[in-house]
Amino acid sequence: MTLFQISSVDKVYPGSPPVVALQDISLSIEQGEFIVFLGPSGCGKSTLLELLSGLQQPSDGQVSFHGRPIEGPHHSLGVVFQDASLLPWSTIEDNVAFGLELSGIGKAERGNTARHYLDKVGLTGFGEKYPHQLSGGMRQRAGIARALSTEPEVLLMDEPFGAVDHITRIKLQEELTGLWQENRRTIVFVTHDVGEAAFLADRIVLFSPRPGRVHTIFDVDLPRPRRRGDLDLLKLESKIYDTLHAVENQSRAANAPV
Amino acid sequence: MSLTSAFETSRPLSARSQNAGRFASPQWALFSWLRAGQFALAAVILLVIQYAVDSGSVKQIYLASPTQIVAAFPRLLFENNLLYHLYITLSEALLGFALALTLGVATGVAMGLFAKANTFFGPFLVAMMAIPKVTIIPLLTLYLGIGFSHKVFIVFLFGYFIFVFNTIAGIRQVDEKHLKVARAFGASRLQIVTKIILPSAVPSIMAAVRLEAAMCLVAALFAEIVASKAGLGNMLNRAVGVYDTASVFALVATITAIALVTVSLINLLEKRVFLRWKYV
Repeated sequence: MTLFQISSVDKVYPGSPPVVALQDISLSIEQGEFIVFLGPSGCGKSTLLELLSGLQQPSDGQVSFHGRPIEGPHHSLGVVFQDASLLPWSTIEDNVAFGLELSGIGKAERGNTARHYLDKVGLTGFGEKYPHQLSGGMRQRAGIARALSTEPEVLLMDEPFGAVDHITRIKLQEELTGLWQENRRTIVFVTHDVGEAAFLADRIVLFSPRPGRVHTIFDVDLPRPRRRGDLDLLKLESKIYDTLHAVENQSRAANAPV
Repeated sequence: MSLTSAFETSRPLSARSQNAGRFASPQWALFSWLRAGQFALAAVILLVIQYAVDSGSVKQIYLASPTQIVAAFPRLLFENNLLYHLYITLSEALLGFALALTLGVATGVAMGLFAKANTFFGPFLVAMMAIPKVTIIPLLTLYLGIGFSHKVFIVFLFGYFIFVFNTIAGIRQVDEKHLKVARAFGASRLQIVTKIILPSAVPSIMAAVRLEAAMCLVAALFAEIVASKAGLGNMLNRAVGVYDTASVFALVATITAIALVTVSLINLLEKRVFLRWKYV
């Protein structure tokens, strides 16, 4: 079943000259799928994620969710941000309960829900701490718990592990696949890390930059749980790297001075 | 020997960090020596003053001895009604401060949230802030007399603009990412203001509170010294007028004590309530 339908979407930021962030994007995202947007910086992958989340509107074309155009942020969508973006003045528990607080759910109930999701992401007992007391990886876990707390149908994740160290990152990836396999909630995941994309995705959408366009879509039908360093995984990575280099040469040629 | 050191290093980290406090005791000893030295210096200074005044080598209108200053307190309390004047000065300072805080933050929020209001009213505010407040005190005396409201208004004027501009600056500091989080959760405009924008401005507003807490007392005293019927500034004027130097020093000591208490109250408020998260 198609969850998101993206039909010939353009996103142009006004200015002189106007910046074309996305050009003619058409893509459908299936329910329960783990899809990864991969590409170099400036390829519009984060912009597309923001279109899906309703934080931005397309300049042209349409993005629909369950067949209805997206007009703004929606409770069925949980967003996980780059470097977690927790509120520094609130405790971890209050941060996780933030979405529930905004929708007017009582203090006791949202506290319970927050603690439940803190348990789920392995942060039991850290609810009373403040964000600056936690490590980067723990903050990002709290960010995921916050997105899960409103029980969205979809998780939209914008380079969520970009700011944590490699070892933590690998661990978080494994935990995320674990969480995902529990209930197969659709995940749209943005990254510029090829290894991360190959390890996580059912499908990888490779973007090319300036203007952002869909370059290649890779179907990843490797069995789960995946083992890091698995030969098939490495073969896939190498294929993606080749395509990435091709993309780079292409855009370099296109932007070369005449 | 080697056995002991091996044992030492193999101890779990938690045990070692627990002991760190005990090992730090030499520092405490050093600290108390420091304290002892400071007390000694203070005592020497006080004794020198005492001797200089008692022996008559410094005239009593210039300097009062510590014992004279102490002796001035009962006089101030029972004959000159110190507590009443203290009450007057503190109420002026507090009321002026409260007005400056509420109106200043309200103006700041309005201007911080509505760019157009800021563009339009900004220059007027800057112009008004640029007026040296002391120069209009005689005018204010003409408008408001020399009583309570005159002082409250002067304290208000000394504080208002700082609250306005610090609130605007605080609102500008709001993190774009936090706004995004709120919007992604479908926050209303009011919720964005109360849950994101205002909390972001709190550190900046607290900085103004800290600045103003000291300033409002100064403003009240200053206004009282210029023209007044009551208050500590008025008492100071009268004591100076009759060359009662001991009372002047006693009043200065009282005011200093109040200022210190104020600062520690603000510190406590900041650590326990408004910026608790920064101190944990």
